[in-house]
Amino acid sequence: MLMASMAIVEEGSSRTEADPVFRLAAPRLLAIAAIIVGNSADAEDVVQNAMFAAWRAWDRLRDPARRDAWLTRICVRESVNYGKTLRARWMHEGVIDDRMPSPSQTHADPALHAAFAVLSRQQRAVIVLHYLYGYTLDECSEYMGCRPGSARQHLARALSRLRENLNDVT
Amino acid sequence: MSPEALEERLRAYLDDRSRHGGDARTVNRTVAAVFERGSRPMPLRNRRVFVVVAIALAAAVVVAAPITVFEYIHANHTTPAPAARPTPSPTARFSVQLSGSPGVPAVNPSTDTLYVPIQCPTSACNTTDDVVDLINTATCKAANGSGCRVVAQAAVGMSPQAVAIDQTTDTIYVATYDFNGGESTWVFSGARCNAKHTTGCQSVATIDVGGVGAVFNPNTRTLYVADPQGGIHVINGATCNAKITSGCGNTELLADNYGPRALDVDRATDTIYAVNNNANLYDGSGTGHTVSVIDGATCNGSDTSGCDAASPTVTVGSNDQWDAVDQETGAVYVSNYDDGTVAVIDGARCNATNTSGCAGTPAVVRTGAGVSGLAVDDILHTVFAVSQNDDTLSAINTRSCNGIATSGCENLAPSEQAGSDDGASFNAFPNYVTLVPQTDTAYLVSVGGTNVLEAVSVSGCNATDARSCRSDAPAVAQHEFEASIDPATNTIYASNYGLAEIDVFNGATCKVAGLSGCSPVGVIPMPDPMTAMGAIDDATHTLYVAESFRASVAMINTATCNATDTTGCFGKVRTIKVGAEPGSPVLNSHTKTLYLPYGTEADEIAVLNAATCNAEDVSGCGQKPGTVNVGPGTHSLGVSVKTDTIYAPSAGVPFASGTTMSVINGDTCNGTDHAGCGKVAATVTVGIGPDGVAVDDATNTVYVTNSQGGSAPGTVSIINGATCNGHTVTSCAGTFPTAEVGRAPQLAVADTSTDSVYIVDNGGAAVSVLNGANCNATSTSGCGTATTQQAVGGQPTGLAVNPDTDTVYVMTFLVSASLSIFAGQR
Repeated sequence: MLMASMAIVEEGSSRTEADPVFRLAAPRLLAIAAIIVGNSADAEDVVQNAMFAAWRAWDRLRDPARRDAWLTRICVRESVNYGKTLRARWMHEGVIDDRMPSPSQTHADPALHAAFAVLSRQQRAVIVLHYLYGYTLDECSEYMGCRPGSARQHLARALSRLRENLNDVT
Repeated sequence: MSPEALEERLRAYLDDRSRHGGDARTVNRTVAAVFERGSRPMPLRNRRVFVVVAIALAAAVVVAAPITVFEYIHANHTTPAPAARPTPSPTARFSVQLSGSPGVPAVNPSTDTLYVPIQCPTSACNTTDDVVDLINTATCKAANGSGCRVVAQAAVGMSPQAVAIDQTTDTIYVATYDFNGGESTWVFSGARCNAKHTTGCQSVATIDVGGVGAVFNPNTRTLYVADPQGGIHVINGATCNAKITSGCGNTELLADNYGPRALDVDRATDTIYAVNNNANLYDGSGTGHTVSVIDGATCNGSDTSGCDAASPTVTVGSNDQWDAVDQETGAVYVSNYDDGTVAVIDGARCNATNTSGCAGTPAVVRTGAGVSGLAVDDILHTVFAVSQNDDTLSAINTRSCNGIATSGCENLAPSEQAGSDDGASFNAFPNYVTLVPQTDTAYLVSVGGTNVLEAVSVSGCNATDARSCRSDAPAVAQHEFEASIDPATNTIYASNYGLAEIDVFNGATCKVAGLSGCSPVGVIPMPDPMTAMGAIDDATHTLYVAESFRASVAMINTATCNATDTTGCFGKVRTIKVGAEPGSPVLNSHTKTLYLPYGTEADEIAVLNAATCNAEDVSGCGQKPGTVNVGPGTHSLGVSVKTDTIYAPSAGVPFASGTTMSVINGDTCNGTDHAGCGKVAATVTVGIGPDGVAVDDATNTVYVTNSQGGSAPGTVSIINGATCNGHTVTSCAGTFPTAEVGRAPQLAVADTSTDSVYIVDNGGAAVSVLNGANCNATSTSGCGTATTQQAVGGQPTGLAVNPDTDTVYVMTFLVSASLSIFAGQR
């Protein structure tokens, strides 16, 4: 079993199965990732990584009906951790993290955009999952890989921080 | 800015940003890149790993092969003599209001003290001064709840997650962990901070590392703390305890890159079993289903020589959450959240010194949906497993299901209800359990959830006594999602949960008295799994189902595809396009109108003329459906043929944020006349999260299920359909009586022939049965006592009733018991 699971990933029936699932989920995953990591270029990388990880483990998912939730979970965790690997790499290579989106970009609500940009990735993740996609905080915690209490804390702190920052900039 | 205003502004902002998520070109580019990357050969470095692993596996097989007799003697494991003790009532339970949302508690039986870490002592949850609540287990137990309150608090840092206790030095270790960063372990004197003495509840030291799970090994006097993003911290308890703190600054890290979450120790073999919950996203290995087997003899507080060594792992089920070692048999029990099972590892052949059995697949025993916390009762020889998604506390027999013996693993473990359904002490989603075996008491909490701890008797549902266990309806392992029944042919049409098909069952052979005939007699191929099952029009022999992923409604000919004639099941299925994500269609058979909810927000209803679009006549299938705008989160509809009214409860988006139901006049909004579709006749206010509706025209009653999102007791609103319908709205503005039902009620079906209303309790493992004879629009006197519950598999989703045979079919989440069948109420 282990040997099979570690075999080289090849084109085959799993691609036929995975392709439509990925295409259906991609717009939503790209949106989630873009909001969490802050820009669409990194979001593409994140979603690629998430889908690749999912494809490699495709046969291990016992219930195909849970593929969408599974993909979302991998994507959210990848989005949250993507920042950490970037930070680690940039620190190692001496590159400064200057990729946070600028408030001057065109958005419907620039003040909120600026306030949102300084949230941590966990805080952004719980905001997008809870408010945009309507997941309960229990579900958010599953997707984020944390305990429900932590998701609640992330949300409370995110809202508190948003309020503070909105007061600063408006 | 008010919280509501901020949330609304946030939603608008997020909605705007999400529109730029991914256009078709980006999607194509992203998906293509995935497969392009996948088609490349594995890097050489990884190939070497593969070869090494393969050789190691082969070697293990060669070594293990000659061993044919496994005489099991678990060193130092002794059976404690049963203590004389008063037995509490099997149904006794008491609750404690905690200071905030709990973490995983631990008990010190020497001082009768339960320590409950509190993650969130204030509603804002933005303080760094969290606490540990102390509860006296001598006066708060199943036999006596007089002292069920928090007797003291100890202050700790942000987000305390778990407690470990060294009984030798009476030291309490509280591990904290915040996913924003920040972790520590706080050290307390249990002798000076317990249920009776609270003068010394200040910490004596803090350790700079923390985590989400902790265990103390008294053999090596070592504290192990699971850090999901770091590994396992190893702390010398001999030099860092309530009396000596000189060693609290020295910690060692044991490498574990698979996101350890929970720990337990087998003291006889000095083995630490670490549950690895997090998926490893960077090498694609997709963990989250393994347990690391760690040699505690070479990685402990005084000897760290082996802490850098790689540990073998055991593969268990999906999304493993917790583990518990039975010190008597050495068996390791691991909860598999996604599977609803508990894996049972044979600790005798998978430990620090003998790993011959680690490569095998452990036995599993079925428990409940979303199984999480585990605890071993060495007196009752029972492992208790609590499942948060169906509110059950399962009892696994450690003598017949322990890795060596597996006969007791084969059946669904018996269970009792875990959390209370009572209002004030309602325990939503209990997920962790701590035991005091001497008093037959299990203490249940919802980690990260409700501020309640419950003391529950386990004396009547355990390995040796099943008198208060639930009595489950018979069930078969057919993983179905929803069903429709055609009484005329006694055919059950059930959409499959995982396969793109509708399964056809013969009700004559699939019944309470004969489950052996519950295999599909036919299969209807569909484009996707989880088809939304809808109404059957007997006149045109048409079953209407919604293809939620295809924005269409399919029509299946029930004359040529039924229990006794399946010749038409594989034929071409005709479809009609409707809006996005359509839900289950309902039919007004008098006006020949099909109504179904749809929309990405589920806030619209499509209105179709079924007279000219059915299995026999497709001449009108090109029609443009009428549209009714309703509240978001409308997932199911009810039709009153008597008043020609459509009832549409709106659970809201996010789920359970809605409290209303739209009332639509079918006279002016039907298949041939859309003139009145632009306006609803009334919008009534019901409970929180209305999600299901059933109409009984015989008693003019509309039953609306209020799910409450599962976080409060479920109710059903009783509405008078004679005075609140599409034509008459005189009582629509009022408040309505309610009846109490089970957790998170959703789908409802009324059997008018028996005056029974069946409601699936999606947050539990039951179907609530409401007696409509004494709880209806004109007689609500019996609503307080009108409900009974039938235990079924965990987390029921689908429900169908055959009134002719009085048989109820329930589809549940648990794969192994997913189609429950019971006789209806007469």
